[in-house]
Order: sequence, then structure tokens, then C-alpha cells
Amino acid sequence: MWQSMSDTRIAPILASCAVLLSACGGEAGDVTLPVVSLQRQSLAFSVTAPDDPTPAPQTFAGTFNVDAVYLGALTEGTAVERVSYSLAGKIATISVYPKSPAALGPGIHQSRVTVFGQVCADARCSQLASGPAQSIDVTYSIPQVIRQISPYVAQEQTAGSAIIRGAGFQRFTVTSVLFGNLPASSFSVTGDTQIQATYPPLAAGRYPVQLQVDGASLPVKSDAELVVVGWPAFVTASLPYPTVNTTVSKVLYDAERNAVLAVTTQGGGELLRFQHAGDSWGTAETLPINTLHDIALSADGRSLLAITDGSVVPIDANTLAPGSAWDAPVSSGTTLTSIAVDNDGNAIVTTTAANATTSPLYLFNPRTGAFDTPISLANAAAAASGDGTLTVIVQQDATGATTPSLYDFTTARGSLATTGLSGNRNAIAPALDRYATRLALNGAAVYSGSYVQLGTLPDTTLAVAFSPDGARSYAYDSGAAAVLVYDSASSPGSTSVLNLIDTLTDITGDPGSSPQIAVSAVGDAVFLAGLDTISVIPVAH
Amino acid sequence: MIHSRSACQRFLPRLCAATALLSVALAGTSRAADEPGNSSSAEVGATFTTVDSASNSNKSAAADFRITRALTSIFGASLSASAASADTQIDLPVDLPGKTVCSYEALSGTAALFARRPSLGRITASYSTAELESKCGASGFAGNSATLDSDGYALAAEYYLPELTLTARRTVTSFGEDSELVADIVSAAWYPITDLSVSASAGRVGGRMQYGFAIEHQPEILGELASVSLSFSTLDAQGDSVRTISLAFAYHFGARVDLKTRDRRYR
Repeated sequence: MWQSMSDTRIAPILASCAVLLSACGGEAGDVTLPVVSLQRQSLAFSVTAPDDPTPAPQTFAGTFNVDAVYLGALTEGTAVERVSYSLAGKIATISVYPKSPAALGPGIHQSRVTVFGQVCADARCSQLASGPAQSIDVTYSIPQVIRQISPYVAQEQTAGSAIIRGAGFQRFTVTSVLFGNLPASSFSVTGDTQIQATYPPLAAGRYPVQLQVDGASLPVKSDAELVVVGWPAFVTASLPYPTVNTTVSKVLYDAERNAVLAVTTQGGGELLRFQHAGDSWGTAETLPINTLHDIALSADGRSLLAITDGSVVPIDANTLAPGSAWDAPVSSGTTLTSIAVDNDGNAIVTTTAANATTSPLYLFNPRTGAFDTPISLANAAAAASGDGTLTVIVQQDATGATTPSLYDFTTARGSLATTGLSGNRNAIAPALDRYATRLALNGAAVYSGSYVQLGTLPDTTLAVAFSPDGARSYAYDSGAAAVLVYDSASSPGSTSVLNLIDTLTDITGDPGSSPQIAVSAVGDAVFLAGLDTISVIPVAH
Repeated sequence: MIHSRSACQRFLPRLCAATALLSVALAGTSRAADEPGNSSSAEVGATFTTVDSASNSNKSAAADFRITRALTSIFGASLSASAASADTQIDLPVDLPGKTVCSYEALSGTAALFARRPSLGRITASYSTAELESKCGASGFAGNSATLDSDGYALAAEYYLPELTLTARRTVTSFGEDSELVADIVSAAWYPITDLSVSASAGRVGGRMQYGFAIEHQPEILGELASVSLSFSTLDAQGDSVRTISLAFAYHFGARVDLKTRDRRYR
């Protein structure tokens, strides 16, 4: 009977089935599967600055009411880079990775991560069915930050300019720069990481540097202070070392603390500090540091960074208490030789190798302890300008067969580059003035900040330093046995010796063959470190 | 269970291996082909499926191909492959334009060996492999993508009555080493006429009850070379419900036979 049915008789059956199926396709109940319960309802990421490393991912669990075969994760918003997960039956482990703070910039960034589970909808799992989605809110706070101001020391009742360094300055509109409660005389946001500001005459004290910003959702985090100090009254003095006949490799004036520091080879390495108070100097404070080669003040002045054979040692600039050293990744036979701090807070550390022509130059980040190695140089030495905008790196081919290039690092450029100058120039440490308008190389030639040679110094020069404004060069001359004062504001001709202005002879002790020289922050004293003493020589400025 | 490799990287080698094995078997027994009572055939098809629950809606389209070869008068083998594409919309706790969330690309292949007597029934053992590549995302959203690998083994027994085919099937699908889905389904297909089957099924899929209903028709006006089927199933558990509706078209190569004969001798 059935075999005789025609197609036309089948139509009603098909139609009935279609109606039945469409009726079956109505709304389901309120509950579907699989339902996920998230361990966390929100996640918060934060960094202290836009140039901080990306925070580690945060992981939380999601629990399903049934075994899920697949987990979907959708991310809305700007804070999250990606979401990863692992799934084992009813348990999902979900990791949320934030974006790089440098990529996001300052502000409060938000995302929502939506998670849902899926199960097989048929026997062969050729179809999947999803459960309801659950969301977790992600907040990511990245503040604008002021790290330091360079130079961070100003003279009482003297207007000046400084460079404020930090991160995120161009994210929002900076409407005002404050020193304490006093606004800057003028300022200019010259980049996302720096502001050029002029401060008015200020009384002695400490002035937190702060920004007023339109549109920022977070307060600007500031670690910077402008330290305004009174005018020191230097008189001729001699600061004797605890042990005589000591070689000094660096002398440094700490303007905030009105102190002179010297790096000596005594006992394998020793740091000396002489504090000036009133009209007199205290006796030497000593800090033995094995294989000490060089020191520099950190950009914020809170610590000294000391260089030993293989490490950078932070030292509290107030107490001289050493901190935990950062070991440089030097190979055997290579030692650190010098350090120069830029106004971005990072340092350039040079090295020398006993058994190789070249050795690494490190870009060192004191905040993270990271050493980057962009280049290898030959017996390099580095020095920075007082405002930290320019660091020059000289080289010395030990064989004298080549004339290696002079490099520099500018914080405006943020990288190393050759300068167009070359030569073997590390016999005498390079010197720069406060604002990178003058530099002296190898104690032999004086250049402008754009590397135009302005003149020369006599061959008998053993050490050189500049007045803060670069107008005067103070050179210890072994022939004259005196500190000769040259006019470096003008050029007598690139190959001519600078014009001699004055001769300073108030030197005590034996300067030796490699004396070191420094100038006070306002240029009113020269400090000449010899074998036995540091001579304090007041100068007109 | 979830991988980020492409579907082809894992799927094709396994399917090709299964195909090669079966091809050797088919070639070695070619003289036994088309024995009375067990015949060879091939068919291509297209299937359109919707899967709905309270939280999501899938719409998929699949193309499939199946070849069945008689090895002896009793034994036979089949190979089938399917490619599917699906889009899923999932209810999210936020407003989403369009709500397009996930898309799937699925490849699957099955190799089966069976023993059949058209007057009695058939026992089938099969191996399947599948990869389902999922990519989730939506406007304004970043999503994840992953590949779900699975291997399945099935054992089915069919019993032929004059107007009725009774089937019991167990399918075990594994996802990696420690997760599997077991499905036990029984069904009954009734042939009110020889070119029409109406079937109902019930069983458990991963601990959840599934009920199904299907109808397939092979119209005489298409020369008994094509069929159309419509099916519905619902997967329930404790008030949850996932409903699947499929509409499929198939074209059969070779013999022009009625649907019941095709099911019992050619497929």
C-alpha cells in the first residue's frame, strides 16, 4: 500500500513535520549550559610610570557547571593585550596580559574581558553550544611621572633653567610647572619625556616639582625636587687625605651637600668625602670600595653610583651607606672604567679589556639594574654635562694604530652616535660645562657644544674643567705648576692656545702626574686633587 | 585539547592515512564489489544547520561526500568527509553591534567498515577525526582563536524490519588525553513509503538527554537520485536546552533505487 503512494501524498506529511519542527524551535529555558563562574570580578594593573616594564599577567580561575570543550574570550577596550587560557573539564585557568604601558601612555585604561564556555551540541561534536558569558572588568592605571630635574641644585635667589625629565608629558596638556607653590617663569614641553623650564629666584629650600595638567585622570607622580642652596663662601684650603701619596681618579663637587668627593686607589679603592660647613671643611669621611674606579651623582642627587671592576654600587649620597651592587655582564678580563649620568636617570658605563681591542659600552638603568650593550669601543671613557643633556665618549686605541671615533649620547636623541671627531683621547678625562656648551678632549683641545674646535690647551695640561657657563677653562699645567685660567668664551683660532686670563698658584701638596680637577656649582671655587690633598682655590666668577 | 595549529596540519594526515588504508582494502577486493545484497554507491550533499540555546545561535553550512564500497556480499566500507562553516552569536553582557562573536571552520572525515545483510541488518565500526577551528571576535573586541581536535569511534547495529529500521549507536569522541564525550543513541526509522523515512531517536550525549526527529524523502520526480531531509534534535539537562535543526540535500550517484533500498543496500 505504502509503495503505491505518490509524491503528492507525501507533501502533507512533510508539511506537518515542518510545522512540528518550527514549533520545537521555540525559546528555551532561562538556564543554558555551560555556565561559568569567574573567580575574580575585576582586575587592576598599575605601573609607576609609562616607561615601566609591562606588568606580569594576572591569572584567575573560571569554573563551569559542566565539562566545556572550548572557552571563548573576548576583550573590549584598550588595557588588555591578549587573553590566554587552559581548559581542563570544568576548570579554566585564564590569564590576562596587559598592554605595554609605553604603548598606552598615561591615564586610566579599561577593558572588559568576556568569557564563555562551549560544549558539544551533538554526538560527534560537529556543533558547539555556548553558555552565557560572564565579564570581568580590567583597570590599568598609568600615571604621568616626573623623575628628576637636571640640574637639580639651584643657587639661592638666582633664576635658572633646568630640564624636567619623566614620561607622558605630551599625553595631556601641561598648563603649569610648579616649583613648590611657585610657577615656573616659563616652560616648554619639548618632548614626551622632557620639559624645559625656567625657575624664578628662590629662597634656599627644597621645591617639589609638579605639573598642572588638563584632562589627566590620575595625579602626576613626581619624585623630583629642585634643591636651592645658599651661596657657599669658599676660602683657600687644603683637604688632606687620610693616607698620603694616593692616586686620585675622580674629584666631584656635590652642590646639594656642599661637599667634595674623591675616588682614590688607597687600599684597593676608597671614596673620600670632605664636607664644607660655614667657613671650614670637615675631615675626610672614608668608604672603602674594592676596585673603585669612578663615581657619579645620580640624576636626582639622592645616590652616588660607584664603578668597580665588575659592578655598579649605589651609595646613599647623604650617609655614604652602600647599597646592593648591580653586577655588569662583563666577561673575564674586562673591567668597568667610568660612568656618566644622563638627565633621564640612566648612565653610560665604559669598560676596558685586558685581552681585546674593544669592550662593551653599557647603557645602565639604575631603576631596573639593566645593562644594555649597544656597542663595543676601545678603552672608552665618558663624561656628562652638568645638566645631563650630553655625554661624550672618548676612545683610545692601545696600539695607536687607529684613530677611533668620538661618540656622544644626547638625551634629546636618546641614542649613541658618532660626532665626526676621532682620535685617541682618553689620557686625560673629558670635561664639559653645566649646559653642554663647551667640552675639552684629552686636555688638549676645547670645542663648542656642536663640536667646533675653539682652541687648544698646552701640551703640559694634565687636567681640565669648565666654569658652569663654559666661559672659563681651568687647566692644571705641569709646566706652570698652577691652575691656568683660560678664556673659553671666545676662540683665538682653532689651533691656537686659548687666551690665558689668570694663574692660580694656591696649590698645596704634590699634584702628581694625573691630578683631577672640578669646579663648584656656581663657579666660585676650583678643587684640584693631587697625591696628598685636595686644594680648594677660590676663583672670581 | 585546544590547539592553535591549523586544521589541515593535524586533520589531513590522519584522514589521508585512513583513506589510504581503506583504499588498499577496496582495491584488493574490487572483484567482490557489487555483490548481490551489498552494493557500492556515492553521494554528495549539503546541510544547513541551526543550533539555538538561550545563550547562543549557530548557523552553519556543510558540504559532504561519501563513498560506499561493497567488499564482499556481506562486508563493505565507506569513506566520508565533510567541511563546514559556522557563525555563532552569543549573548554577551554588553551591547555589541551585530553580536557576531565566533566563527568555526570544521573538517571531519570518517572511515567505516561494516557487515550487512539487507534482509537482516548491519553492524558498523567507524573511526572519525575532526578539527574545529574557532575564531572569536566582534566589532570593537579582540578575541581568541583555537583549534579543537577530536577523534571518534563508533559502533552501530541496525536491525531491518519490513517497514522499520532499528538502530543502536555508541559514539566515543575524545579530545586529547583526558576528555571524551560518550553518546548512546537509539533510533527507529519508519518507511511509510519506500521513498520516505520518518525517524525518531533518543539517547544520552555526554550525560545529557537528546531527543531527535527526522524525515527524509527521495522524490520520484528527481529520478530517485536526490533526497531531502529535515531533522530536529534537542539536547536537554536540568532545564538546559540546545536545539538543532538541519536541512540536508543529497545527490546519489549510480543506481536509481528507492530510499529504503538505498539505506539498506547502498549507503
